[in-house]
Amino acid sequence: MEALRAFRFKRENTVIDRADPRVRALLSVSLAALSLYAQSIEKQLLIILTALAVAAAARRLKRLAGVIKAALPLSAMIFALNWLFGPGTGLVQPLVLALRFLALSASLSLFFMTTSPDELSLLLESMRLPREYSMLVTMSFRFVPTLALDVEAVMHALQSRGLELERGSITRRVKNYLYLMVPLIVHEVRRSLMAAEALEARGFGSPRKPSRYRELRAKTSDYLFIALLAAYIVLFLAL
Amino acid sequence: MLHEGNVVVQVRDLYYTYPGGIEALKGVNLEVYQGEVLAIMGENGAGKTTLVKHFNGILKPTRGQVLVKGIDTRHASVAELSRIVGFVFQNPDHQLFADTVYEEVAFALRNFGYPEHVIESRVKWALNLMDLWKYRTRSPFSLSVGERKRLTIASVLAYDPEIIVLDEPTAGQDHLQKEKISEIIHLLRLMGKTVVIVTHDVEFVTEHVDRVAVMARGKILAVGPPQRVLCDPQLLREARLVAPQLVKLSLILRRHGILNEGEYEWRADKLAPKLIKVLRSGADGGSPGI
Repeated sequence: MEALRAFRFKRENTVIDRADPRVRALLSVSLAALSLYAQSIEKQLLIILTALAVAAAARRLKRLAGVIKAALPLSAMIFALNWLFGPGTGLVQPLVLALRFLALSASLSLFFMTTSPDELSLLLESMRLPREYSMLVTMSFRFVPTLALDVEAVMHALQSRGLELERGSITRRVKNYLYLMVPLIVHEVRRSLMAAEALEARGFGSPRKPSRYRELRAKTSDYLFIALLAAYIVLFLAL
Repeated sequence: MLHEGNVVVQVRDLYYTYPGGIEALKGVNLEVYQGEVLAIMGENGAGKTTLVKHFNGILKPTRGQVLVKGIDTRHASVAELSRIVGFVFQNPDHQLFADTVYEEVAFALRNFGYPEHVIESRVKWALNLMDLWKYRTRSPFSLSVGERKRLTIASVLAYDPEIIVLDEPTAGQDHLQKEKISEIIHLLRLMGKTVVIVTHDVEFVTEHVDRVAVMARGKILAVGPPQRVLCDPQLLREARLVAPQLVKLSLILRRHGILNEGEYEWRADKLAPKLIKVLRSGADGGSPGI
């Protein structure tokens, strides 16, 4: 549930929010790429710290820290599996891989936390993705928080009828979660059909090229941002 | 009807803050008496559903406490409290999942560990009560909205909880379904159940409940019989509720001197004789009044 909440977009008025979404995408992708390239613990930590610093500038430090906290168990599992079954014998490589997972989670979450569904749509269309597909992606992200609320509602309803989700053997627990899936799928299918009807009723799918209320235009500050990012990448690679 | 000494739910200075930081309840105090039908009313976001979700422990107090039959909800599981408090959610689609209507009703009974022969008789009783026995082999998703709503009520009634919470039972229901829900509430009253209804529907409340608790911005503004609470224009304005039609009519009648200052008639069967009297006096040659 916490992981789903990380996708909930909340508009803020910070220097990061005001930046062009393409710049924010570039930042996240660059951090993720650097994380994949880096092979040392220090560099992975540096990327995580950079992501946290950007989150602090975007007034979302607590939320990003929450995402990292939610990713910790999986990261610990990556560490343990690589330590026990990995090709090397040392602790460095498993730790780098575990930290890389956290760095990737943090850098990509940063983008989704600071980008509204509208901006995401504009970004995808600026990348020449057909509108049907960009709508599909934005709608998916748009409905993640709604899905989180639905999961909560269904869980509450089942618990109210005496179902204890976290009790019993592993097979019992898995079966308990199957009870959760049926109403959730039925509800989401109904919701998607309604959303599709609502979209069609408002002219979606019309053969004419849709106009946009807002167009993406890079500002001077965005170029400055890119220059800063380039300097960061050069410094990072030189380290 | 009300036994003031017999409190089944006691809410003491309850505060609740959602994980996102929204403070939904700010010092709520409320007592629910055994056998009463209580309505909790207020605008959207007033904290009504948040409050009732504390009754079966789905939500735990941030501060303060909720006692259900003397049990502190902070120290009891939802499953334990659900045996006492049955919760019927607003959207039936959130809770139906079984292959058949029969299995849907049997689900809670199985969770509570009832033997199979008891489950069979309880399911049959509950489905007959809600007029759904004929659909027992059908999928719950093939039923109409009203039938699905009744099925969720049957699945709660089957395990015989003492307190029943209905969250927005009349929302999105047509007149016939509302009538059926009215009958169910009447039936629950006859069965001696304590019923808590969360609703916006003032007309429904005037006819069916013993007491109304009016909420706004996470606080309870007033608790009392509907004829008092729903006739207070200032209170209704504060809670952003619309007065019942008959209260509105009473205000007009007061302006024309047919009702005395401060007098309201909130039931049609009580207002009608007064109007008939005025109209008859008009027909007899006197002033028609209106």
